[in-house]
Amino acid sequence: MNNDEGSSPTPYSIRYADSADAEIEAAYGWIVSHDFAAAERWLAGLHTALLQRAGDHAALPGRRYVAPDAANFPGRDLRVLRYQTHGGSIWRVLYELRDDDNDGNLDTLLVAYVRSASRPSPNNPAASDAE
Amino acid sequence: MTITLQEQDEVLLLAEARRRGTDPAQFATAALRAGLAALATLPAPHDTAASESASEVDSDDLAWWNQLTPEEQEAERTALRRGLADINAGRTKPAEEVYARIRATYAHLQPAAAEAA
Repeated sequence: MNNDEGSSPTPYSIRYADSADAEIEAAYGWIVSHDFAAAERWLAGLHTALLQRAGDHAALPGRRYVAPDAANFPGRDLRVLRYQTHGGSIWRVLYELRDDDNDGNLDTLLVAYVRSASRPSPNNPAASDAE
Repeated sequence: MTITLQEQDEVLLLAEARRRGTDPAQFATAALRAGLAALATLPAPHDTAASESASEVDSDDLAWWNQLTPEEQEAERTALRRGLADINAGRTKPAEEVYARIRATYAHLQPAAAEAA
């Protein structure tokens, strides 16, 4: 998949923290063990949602989508995306926007955290996503 | 505690008391008690800091956050700290690399591949 899938081009590249990478793999692994197509929809949908959000930030900069947790992390610019596939669980994606090439423009959306907002049991992390 | 009424509130209370034919002072006290009782039934946020800058905070997520117990909020913060520590240390990967690896790991579960096996 590349950044052109499912959305208009965005000036942001999208990167995952290693722990967020592990969280995504765990979620995908659980869903795919029940329904391969549902897992693909979930993963492709996540990327599309991030691209749309990045495009939204690019089109209209400003402090929006601030995560409630941000108050506990002074100095961090934490935003939240609530992501949900049709009929699936809600997933919480916390991210920061960065200017990685120091040209004065934000260019990177860094995902710090991807977790189910429905917080089901550890053995069933995303039950409704596989239904 | 001192409770100050705006003039327009006083006028409204007096008018309502007259309409009901009750003592204005008693009616005002009862109305205030009812208002305070209603306020007391609103869910209090576990994390008052999360209520700051409410206009910038995602309202759906704030509602979700406020219904968590303090222990659940701490668990979320702990997970977030891990991610932020990764970012601080440069432990990040491009999205495409992450997706490609995950898909390769589970490719054997794709229906056609599973049938072939």
